Amino acid sequence: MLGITFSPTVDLKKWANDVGLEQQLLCDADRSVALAYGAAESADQERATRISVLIGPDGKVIKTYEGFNAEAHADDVLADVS
Amino acid sequence: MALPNTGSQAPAFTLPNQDGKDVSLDDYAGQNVLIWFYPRAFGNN
Repeated sequence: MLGITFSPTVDLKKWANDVGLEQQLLCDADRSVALAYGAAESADQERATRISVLIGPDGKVIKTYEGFNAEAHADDVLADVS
Repeated sequence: MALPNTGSQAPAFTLPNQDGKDVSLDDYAGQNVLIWFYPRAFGNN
């Protein structure tokens, strides 16, 4: 899993430590990746839209998710890759 | 901006992680990877 946000890497480090996250947290400071994936409408959007994208071993999009319930989301994704 | 179409090639990227190390989508070639965008670290602030 790769988490992407616009927060500075120093904040991501603190957050990962605070909540015990071991996954990769990535900083998309210029929004270029968010723009490519539809998680931002413009380069000055303050916060990323909450979406996720499941990508297969061949680098192609398997499924996209938006407006999901965070608690149920993990189960939904696991069902899609199983 | 629209979400990527199912079956389309996922846009490549390289971004720094929480340790300042660059991570690329290519690093995950050959496996499933879930990319999730979230508003900000620390929840609501």
